[in-house]
Amino acid sequence: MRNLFYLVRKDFKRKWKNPVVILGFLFIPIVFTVIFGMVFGSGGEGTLPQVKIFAADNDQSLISGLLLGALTQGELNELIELEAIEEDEGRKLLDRGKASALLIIPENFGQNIWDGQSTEILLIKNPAEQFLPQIAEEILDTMTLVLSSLRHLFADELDTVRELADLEEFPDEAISALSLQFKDRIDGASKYLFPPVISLKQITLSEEKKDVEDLSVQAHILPAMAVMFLLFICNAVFEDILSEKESGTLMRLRISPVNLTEYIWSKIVISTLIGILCTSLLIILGRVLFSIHWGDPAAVALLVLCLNILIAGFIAFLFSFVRTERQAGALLTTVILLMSMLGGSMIPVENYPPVILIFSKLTLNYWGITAFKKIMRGESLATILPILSVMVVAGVMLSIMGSYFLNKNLKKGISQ
Amino acid sequence: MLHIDHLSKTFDTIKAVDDISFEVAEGEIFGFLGPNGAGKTTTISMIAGLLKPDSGKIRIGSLDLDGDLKKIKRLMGVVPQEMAFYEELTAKENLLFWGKLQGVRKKKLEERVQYYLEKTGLLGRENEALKKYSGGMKRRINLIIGLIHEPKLLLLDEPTAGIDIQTKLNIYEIIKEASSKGTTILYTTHNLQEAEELCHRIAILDLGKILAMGTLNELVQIVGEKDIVIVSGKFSIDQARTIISSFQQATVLSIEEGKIVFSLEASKNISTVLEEFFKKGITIDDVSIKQPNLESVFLKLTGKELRE
Amino acid sequence: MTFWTIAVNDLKLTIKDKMFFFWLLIFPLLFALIFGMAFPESEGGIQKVTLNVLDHDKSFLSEQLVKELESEKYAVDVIENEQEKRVRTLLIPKNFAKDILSGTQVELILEKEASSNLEASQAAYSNILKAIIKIMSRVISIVPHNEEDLEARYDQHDFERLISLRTEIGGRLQVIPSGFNHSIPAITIMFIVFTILMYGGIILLEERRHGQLERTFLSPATFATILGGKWTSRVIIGMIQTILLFAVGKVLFKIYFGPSIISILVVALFFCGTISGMSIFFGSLIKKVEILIILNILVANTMSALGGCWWPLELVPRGMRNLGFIFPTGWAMDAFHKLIFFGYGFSAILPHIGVLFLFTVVFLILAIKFFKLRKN
Repeated sequence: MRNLFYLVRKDFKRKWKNPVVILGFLFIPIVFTVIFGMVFGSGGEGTLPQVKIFAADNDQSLISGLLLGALTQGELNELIELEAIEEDEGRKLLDRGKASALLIIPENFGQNIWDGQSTEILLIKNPAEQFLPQIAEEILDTMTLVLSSLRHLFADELDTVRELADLEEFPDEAISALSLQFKDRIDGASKYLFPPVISLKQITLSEEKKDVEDLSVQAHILPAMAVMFLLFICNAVFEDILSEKESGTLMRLRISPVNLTEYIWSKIVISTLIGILCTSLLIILGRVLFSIHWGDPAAVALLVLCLNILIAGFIAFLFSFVRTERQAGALLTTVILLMSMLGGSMIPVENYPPVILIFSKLTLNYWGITAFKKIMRGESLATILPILSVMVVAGVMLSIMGSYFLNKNLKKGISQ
Repeated sequence: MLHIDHLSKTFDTIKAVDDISFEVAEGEIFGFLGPNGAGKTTTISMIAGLLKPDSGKIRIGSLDLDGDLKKIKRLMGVVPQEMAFYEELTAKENLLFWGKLQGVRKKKLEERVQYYLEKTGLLGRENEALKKYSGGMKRRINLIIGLIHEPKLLLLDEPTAGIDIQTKLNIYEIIKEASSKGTTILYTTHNLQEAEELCHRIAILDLGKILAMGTLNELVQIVGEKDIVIVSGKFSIDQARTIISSFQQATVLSIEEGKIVFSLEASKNISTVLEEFFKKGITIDDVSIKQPNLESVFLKLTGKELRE
Repeated sequence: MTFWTIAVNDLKLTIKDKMFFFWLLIFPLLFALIFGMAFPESEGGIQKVTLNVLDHDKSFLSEQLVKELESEKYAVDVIENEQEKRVRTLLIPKNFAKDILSGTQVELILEKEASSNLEASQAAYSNILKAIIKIMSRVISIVPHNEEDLEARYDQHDFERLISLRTEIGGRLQVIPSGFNHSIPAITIMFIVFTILMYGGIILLEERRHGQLERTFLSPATFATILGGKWTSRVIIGMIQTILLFAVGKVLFKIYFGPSIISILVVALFFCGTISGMSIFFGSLIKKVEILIILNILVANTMSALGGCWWPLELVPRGMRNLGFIFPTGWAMDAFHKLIFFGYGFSAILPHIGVLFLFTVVFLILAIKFFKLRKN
């Protein structure tokens, strides 16, 4: 035990005097969080930029004006940036990728609707964009549907108006009859429309407590990146074993009264400690720089401890398979990157289809990130306790296995 | 103090150590002399407990390495060829760390650190990171780490490789002092002068075997009053063998195309021998004569020269 | 050909590392696969959006709603009980029709699993909304007295969609890009940066550490030859990676590379040139491998993210999109877009090539300025 203390203290001093690598790995999540924050703003993750649509109105009628006006009303105004443009110019600019789509309203659009004839509007989509043109299409499709529906609803009344328009003067009786007709129609419709009789609500199962959108972009990114780079930091600490093997200090330690098990556990302990320090630092920086609300401090503290026990155990276990720095680079980098990719450190797992999600759940990144988010969303300690228990049990078991195999591996390695 | 009994170790098909036995008395500096690959480091590794012998026994004092490794580790100090310490840490931090691992009490340890730093001329620079030290300074720290717990047995594996003469002398001084205080020292080297200067007794190793063992005087007796002559020139193996065999006072030690090594009773005869070469129209490029010393012993025993 | 000898030697040093093939091909393909699955194509070959309907009402109107939901894009499945719910389910409440006819508010619920695809869920939501509009416009035009009245008159008020939306794809090609068509070029750019920066920089550092660099300079080869050889080897590595990834993309994912594959390769060549210059600069500037790795991770990811390799740039605020043009990645991606999606010819990417060339010159000048033979 005394030797373990000396070994841990020695490694701590060494890292303290040469902290560049650890600080470097610590710096990366912060930089990425800044970038993501800049790119996606600090709102919810689902926030999209405005969809820029060029609108070429070749009709210039009341109805085409109404359609374009409707696109900039209410909530749509926030979603869409509409710019009136000549068709030729619009086509040129779209070709240069200056908008997500170009809407072309043909001549006689209004007249055709007025006459009850079918008509179509054209939407040219930016081929280099995947999502925004799709949104533009959905919105316009719904708008034309609503317009068709209104035309359908007031078909009789509009026909009457059309007939009246053909007359040289409007007979008073006809106009009053028409107003009554309109009134009846609107009265009939208002029962269903004001407020709309059907509403549609979306619910995400198993996350009913609070929705995903309530966390800021930074609150999504920082824990995700933190877990990934904690793995890299722990890896850097364990790489010490290989450099000590090369420099001869490990051999010297073996000749001293220290035994290999003490030595290996000193590495597990120091990497857990350094991991805890780094995570704490990231949490503080996250709070100060990005105003992230991490949630219940006790739960966060417990998670930081359990997560780092798991990470240290996992890396110790992986290290028991490698003999050289090259092998370590190959195995560890592959595993860490794969786990990070699958586990949600690079792309939020919400985007993954169920088949990938099965693999996600096998990664420690997934559980680390999930636990952080649960605490942020205010879930009680009791609800995350199962995750934390699994982390500790898995971490300790992996450490024991890692220690056993690493012991064997090192004994062979040193004597060769 | 150190008893080695019929020790052997084989790696795959190569016999690194082949049935060696020797004893080293308390306070004695015992030289282990041999070229690269002679089996010196393997022997040291077995004594240090890093390698398990295939056969044979190692005892340190009354303790058997097999069963008492833990106790033996406290009695033993090792100075490996590598600079085995933490370069990021200061000299003092390193010495305190290694001393504590050996169980030296704090007060005692600090006194020794102070003493050895002074002795090696490093006092005043003890708080500098070792990565800033020169090669010679690092060698001195490497040595002190092995001595800091004042071991009963000190294993030194070529501790002066590639350093300046001043550091070398400083290291010799420290080793001699340790020996005078009763520390038993096993010193491996392939430097003959070093072995001659430092060691009370020397074992000459080649290809895993001890070829000869004794004090410097005893070893020189092996060569007797003969000089060792090395002749290089443009001659074939047969030509050279015929010439040397014609002299009764000469014995061929080793021979190859263009180079022959032989012992000769009196150096004055060398001109006669060379005349024979000239008579046969052979061009001689180089002749060197070695007086009886460890080098000539080594040459005689192995037919090989030992160079640093 | 000293120049060539140096280039080949650096290539050998790179290829000897077993991890190299991972970085060259395996990792990029894994990324492409997972990126492609995470941001699936919005049109074209996408599988149908799963939408289950649990109809507690089983009325005429609820059946009409389901009918309106059905289209070729959606796999609509009416389920009978809660246990069958999966991915996303529309819940139609009891008394759905009755309440609507009486003007009482009704709430439809779209339940989705946390793991369900966001895009598909959004599409399903929009589809339900349109179905609601369709049935309601009939209901409003009928103003029925009761359900029987509605059923009797429903077909007479057939909803004719007078106004429709036609869509076209812009550019010269009229090609509908797939998810992989977006992800493979992006991943290629990203991994060119990773591979060249990592290997190019580390090899230089190691050569300096072990003295081989100094030894090379002691040979009769000129500085320009040595630098040129080293730069060329890195460009070759980048081009091997580009060709391999594009070939695999073509075979596995049927990617369309626009009318001029040569132009695409020219862009890749100039881009590899830039990153090769950058790798020599970093390898000259940095002394420790660990620091170089950290710098590479930072630079490669930042350039890839802001240059549009990580996510579609359209999702980024307009101001931020222009930020991508600070980096070579932004220029390379834009050139790829012009060639692949808009179908432009070589002349359209001349400015991009010019800028990439300028980047290369700047990095090489910096590399020369900071070039060191020895470790200290």
